Amino acid sequence: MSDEAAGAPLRVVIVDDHAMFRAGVRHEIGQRCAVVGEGEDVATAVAAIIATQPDVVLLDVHLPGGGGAEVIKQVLPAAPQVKFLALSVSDAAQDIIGVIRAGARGYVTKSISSDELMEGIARVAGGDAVFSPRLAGFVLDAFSGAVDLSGIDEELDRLSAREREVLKLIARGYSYKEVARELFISIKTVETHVSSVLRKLQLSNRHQLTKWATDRHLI
Amino acid sequence: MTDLPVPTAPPRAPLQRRPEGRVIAGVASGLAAHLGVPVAQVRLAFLVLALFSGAGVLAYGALWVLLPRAAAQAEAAGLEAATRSGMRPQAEPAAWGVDSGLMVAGGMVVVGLLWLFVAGGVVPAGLFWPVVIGGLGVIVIWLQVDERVGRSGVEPGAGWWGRVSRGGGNMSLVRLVGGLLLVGAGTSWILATQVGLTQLPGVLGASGVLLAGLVVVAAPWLAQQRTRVRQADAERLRAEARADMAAHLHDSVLQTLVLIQRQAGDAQTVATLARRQERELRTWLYGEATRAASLRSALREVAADVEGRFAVDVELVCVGDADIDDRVQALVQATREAVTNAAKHSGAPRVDVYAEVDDGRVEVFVRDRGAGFDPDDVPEGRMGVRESIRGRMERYGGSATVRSSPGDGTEVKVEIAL
Repeated sequence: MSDEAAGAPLRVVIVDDHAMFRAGVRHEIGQRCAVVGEGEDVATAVAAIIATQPDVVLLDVHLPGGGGAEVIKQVLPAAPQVKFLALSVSDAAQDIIGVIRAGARGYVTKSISSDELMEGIARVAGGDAVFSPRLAGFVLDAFSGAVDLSGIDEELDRLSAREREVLKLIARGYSYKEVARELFISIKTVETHVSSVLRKLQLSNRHQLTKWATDRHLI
Repeated sequence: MTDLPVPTAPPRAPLQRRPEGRVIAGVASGLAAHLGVPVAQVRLAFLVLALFSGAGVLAYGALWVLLPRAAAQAEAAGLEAATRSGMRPQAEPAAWGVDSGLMVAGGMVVVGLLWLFVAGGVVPAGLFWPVVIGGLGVIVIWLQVDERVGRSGVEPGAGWWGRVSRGGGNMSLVRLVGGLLLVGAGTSWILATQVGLTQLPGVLGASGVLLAGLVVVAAPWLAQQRTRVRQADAERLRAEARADMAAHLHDSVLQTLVLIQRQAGDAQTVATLARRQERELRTWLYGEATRAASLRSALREVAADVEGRFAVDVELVCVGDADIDDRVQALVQATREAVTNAAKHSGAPRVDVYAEVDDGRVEVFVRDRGAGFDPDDVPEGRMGVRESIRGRMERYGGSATVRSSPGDGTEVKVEIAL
């Protein structure tokens, strides 16, 4: 289920404006992957990522200089193969959706265990998406309702019934493996569904998504 | 080890009024502190100067208006916030209310001095009473200049004098009208004696027109000032509210850190403390404002409550939201029981709670990856909780299902139609 065993350890860059947190993560995952660089704001992060060309970047959502989304925007044109995994204490939905839409392939909270974090890094490096229960909830929220509005029934603007099912199970705390067992499908299929949701999240330009994000803090 | 630098008093106090050492407005004590001489000497100097055509009185009045009031010593942010929220004893009890006798005495001294000048021929005899009346009016109006006046209301216990002399809003209007009446009466009297009673209406009319013109010309400027003052006031209140909130949070973080140090040996308690603090901070920093009585905020309360009582993480995810009514309340209660149950019996470090409001129904899933049990093989005693959850839901037309198998955790689903 992870590509970790397939040869060289994954090369990781940690981007966070708190040195203490960087040190903690480095300590936790340093044995199992190669931490090749660190960044503390947008400028140093972009420089470190371009210089080291890592497999995965662990990216804080809030960062001096424009936030994690800004890092992704600046890195992707120069190094499109770098994968980003957002890591945050922030629960602000609009910021998390923002960093996903900028190109991150997943979001986990900082309280995640090191095992789960390693699993997430491997999954992202393999090109799949990592959805924490919270992110699954945000996405369900964002895509719920207003589906039957006329004029915006593009493929990208709605989730398929199966995708909704998968997301709901993830939001309920199921791991990919448990989702697969619950729905009688393979883990690969679960990963395909989640990646497809990620693509819709990133590419959909339906205005409900933006509206949802701006409405969030008014509720 | 080097000692921290101890702040030393500046060699000379800045020239400002010191309300804490005042007899009238703190001018003399401020001046004394600035010059480094005993305050009694300064007061005597003012009195002596007053004998020379009232120069002392004028000087005192001018300094009163011109000198800024000594600002309260700047304190640490937390102390200032604590002071504002009334959690500390007030450092400076107000002394204004009790000194009306002093005011009367001071007034009599001034009147006596004026009488002296009249008797000495400095002031024409006919002008004495008009000047006294007009002067009183001027003093009443100029009270407004004192920064103590009109700021954030008067202490509740203040008497009528305190209210009239220091209150804001209506009271400053009362002062203005009263003062203007007194000044008007004084000037009219002077005019009457100087130009004669018959000319009075004409002169007053002309003055009135002139004043009205001035007001019209100055109105935009006055209005602008008023807006600016209001904005500054609102800004100050906002800043204070923010500072208070920040101080409250830092304070609770401080408490948690102290508790963690004292319980350092007990990993579980430390984790519980840290989790509770984290939740509080996070809600303040990044949390969304939820309606007071909504499903979302009720479930959040449940999660925080269970996290506080047991050593578990409760991961709450909500999709959609609903208002609290009897049925939703029952659902929240059932959820609380399910979460508590999972925290108490499953042994899992984490409980996932997922709530979804969709198509007029609410579903809540409570899941743990703990010990689990065989639903067909439940001892009679353990049926209690399941039945109470199910019974509660069924009374409101909802339902509850429990899925569990040994070693595979438990999932409770409660649902209800809105």
